[in-house]
Amino acid sequence: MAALRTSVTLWSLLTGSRNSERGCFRARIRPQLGALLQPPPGPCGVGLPCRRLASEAESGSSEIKKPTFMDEEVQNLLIKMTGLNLQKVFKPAIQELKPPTYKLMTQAQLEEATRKAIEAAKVRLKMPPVLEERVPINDVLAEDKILEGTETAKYVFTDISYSIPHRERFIVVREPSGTLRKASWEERDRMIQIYFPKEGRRVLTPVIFKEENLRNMYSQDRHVDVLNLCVAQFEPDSAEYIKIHHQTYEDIDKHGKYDLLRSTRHFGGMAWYFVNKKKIDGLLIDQIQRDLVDDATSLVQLYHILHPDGQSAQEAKEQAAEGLHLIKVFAKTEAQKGAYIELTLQAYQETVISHSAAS
Amino acid sequence: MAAAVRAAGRLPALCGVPAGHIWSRQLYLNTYPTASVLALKTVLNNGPLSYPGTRDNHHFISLTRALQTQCCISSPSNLMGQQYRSYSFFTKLTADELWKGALAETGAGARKGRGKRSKKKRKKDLNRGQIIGEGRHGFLWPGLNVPLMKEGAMQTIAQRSKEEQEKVEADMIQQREEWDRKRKMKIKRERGWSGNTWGGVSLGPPDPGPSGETYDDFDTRILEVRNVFNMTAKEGRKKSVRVLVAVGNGRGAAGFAVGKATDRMDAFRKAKNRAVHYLHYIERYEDHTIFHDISLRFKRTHIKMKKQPRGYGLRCHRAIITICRLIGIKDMYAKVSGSVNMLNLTRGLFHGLSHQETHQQLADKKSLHVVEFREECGPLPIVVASPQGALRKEPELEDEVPDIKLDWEEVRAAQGMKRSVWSNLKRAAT
Repeated sequence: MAALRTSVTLWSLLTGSRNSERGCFRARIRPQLGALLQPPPGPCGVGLPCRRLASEAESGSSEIKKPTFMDEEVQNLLIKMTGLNLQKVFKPAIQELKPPTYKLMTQAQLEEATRKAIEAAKVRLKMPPVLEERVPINDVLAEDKILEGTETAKYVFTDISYSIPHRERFIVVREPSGTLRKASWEERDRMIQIYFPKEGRRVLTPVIFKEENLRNMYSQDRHVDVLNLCVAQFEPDSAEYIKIHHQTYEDIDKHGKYDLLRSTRHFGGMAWYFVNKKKIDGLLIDQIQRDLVDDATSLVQLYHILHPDGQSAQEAKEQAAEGLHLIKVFAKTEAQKGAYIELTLQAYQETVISHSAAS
Repeated sequence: MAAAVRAAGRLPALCGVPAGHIWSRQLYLNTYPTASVLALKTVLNNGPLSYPGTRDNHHFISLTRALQTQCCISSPSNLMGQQYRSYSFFTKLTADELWKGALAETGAGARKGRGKRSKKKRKKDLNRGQIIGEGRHGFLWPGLNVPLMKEGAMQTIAQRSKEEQEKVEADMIQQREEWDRKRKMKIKRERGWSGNTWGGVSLGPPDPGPSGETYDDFDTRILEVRNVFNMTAKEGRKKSVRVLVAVGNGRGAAGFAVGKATDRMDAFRKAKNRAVHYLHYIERYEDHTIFHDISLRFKRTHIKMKKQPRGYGLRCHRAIITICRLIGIKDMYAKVSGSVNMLNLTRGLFHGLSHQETHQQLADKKSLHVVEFREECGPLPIVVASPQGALRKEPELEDEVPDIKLDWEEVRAAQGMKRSVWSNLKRAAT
């Protein structure tokens, strides 16, 4: 137990970035219940902080600081790209209907109400965290051979004190063979859901996450529903969560249905995934076709932030490219579908010219 | 004996008349105990071969059966009492006059509503299906039964074989049975609000107008059928049928009218055609409900209507459901209290619905935006109407406690003080 305690404190030491300090503090105060929208404390996985610590140690020598999902400028870019379509954010939810209420408002009151709605929309559009996959727990606490053969089933002991954060709860399993080990991540999730049920989460994985059902959902263009269910059901660093998200993003990319996620809270995660995989061509083309050139430029900027050693980043820095020129540089250098991008850019420029000529 | 002979002597006369049956003028002893001769005289049967009309009147059946058993078809040697009179009472009058006597539509029994519904008889055309030339012995007369010319040659008189003749006669009987069955078949009347009532029954579209305008997309529904009586000098109580009917095309145009006549169908027609002349156009919000809650009192009828979202259905008085369907309103709640007089109910309903204030009118009146907030859309404001003129700067004064009159029944229901088996009752949709 003492060993555990020390390992926990070491872990909290390791997560020594500016975010996690706040995060740990939050974790101590508030148990992690019903926090769908808030990222869990310790946004960085276990792997990264080591690198961070190492990089901080050698901060003077190199400037390689891998940007994370939660960086301010990254978040700003992603929020700008997500857009804020109030009609889509506040789409009528499927619930029992009540007759609407009417109010008489002046212009000022109307603007005030719209402003409040925009703030509520921003809260709704808070992005769910993007974390590394969690390392499986393989920690054996004790080996008691004398208990072998006494029981036929595993026993799971859970600490159900109310005010402990779920990540720091002790959940141990006594096998029939006598070993006392720490529970694996899946067992932990299951036990925590049984004792502290969270709304929208089921103990056993729902059938909808099976392959054929997911395919059905994709064919019905219900990617948003799939992602919402996934966020409700799984922890952000679990394997299934990451797998399903990646699968959904791949399907969107394959069919070019980027607009389904625009103005939802999943757009940022999707853009982050594509930028990491260096597959932003489809998204770029879609944005240019919908005349969202600012979003396209911010996407290319994000790409340069994440891959500063790439060819396009270097060239852009040399030429100090801005706006459309930036996109052209990217299209020429690192894009797979560079030709398509240039073509769409040309078409866009022609439409702009014709519009300006007409008006 | 003498009586029997007399009876036998009279029988053939019954059978004689217009039919072209060939009768042997043989008289046979009539040994069957029959009904009285007077009863026989009233039989109107064109021949013993014809199947008795399946009337409700058992006299007829017994009589005709008696006749049949007497005058059966068999070889001439077995013929019992086949009587044939070429000139009798029945030959002196036309079929119409005879039927007029038998049906007894006029008379003391028919006046003043004394006639029973079950005693009503129906006229039957006894000459239907007769071909001049067809007879019991089965002779084929070219020009009558059989075509005159066959391959250019004039045909001769022939006779059918016995089997053929029997078959032909059996066919004839079957055909007559089928006619009778069809006549007797009762057409199922469309069910209105309940089995025997005329409320909610549809009358189809109104008749086209004099300048040729058609009202094909209008449907009419009966709301009330009432027998009203008026005292006259000559007859005393005179019955008249008063019908209240509503028409509508499901797209906002609807109207109602009253028609009165002695005959029910005439009253329906009058009401239907009158209703099309008194149409109201009723504004609907998004084509499925009213703009706002309406509570009105018309004479002694109180109606309280509430706006409902899509999918709620019409949970109202059955007459209001019918009228709303004709207007095109699909979701509404209405409560009728006080008097439920159908006329006042319809009048009040139409008055209330036509005097609704649309969102645009409200916006123009107050010169402010009309903004809708829906639960399912969260805090999003939806501007439904903007004033056409200027927009005023001063906001609408709103007290913390709104100054509206509360309805005690509603308050009781909201507080849970109301114990009623009829609230939240599961009914059929709409």
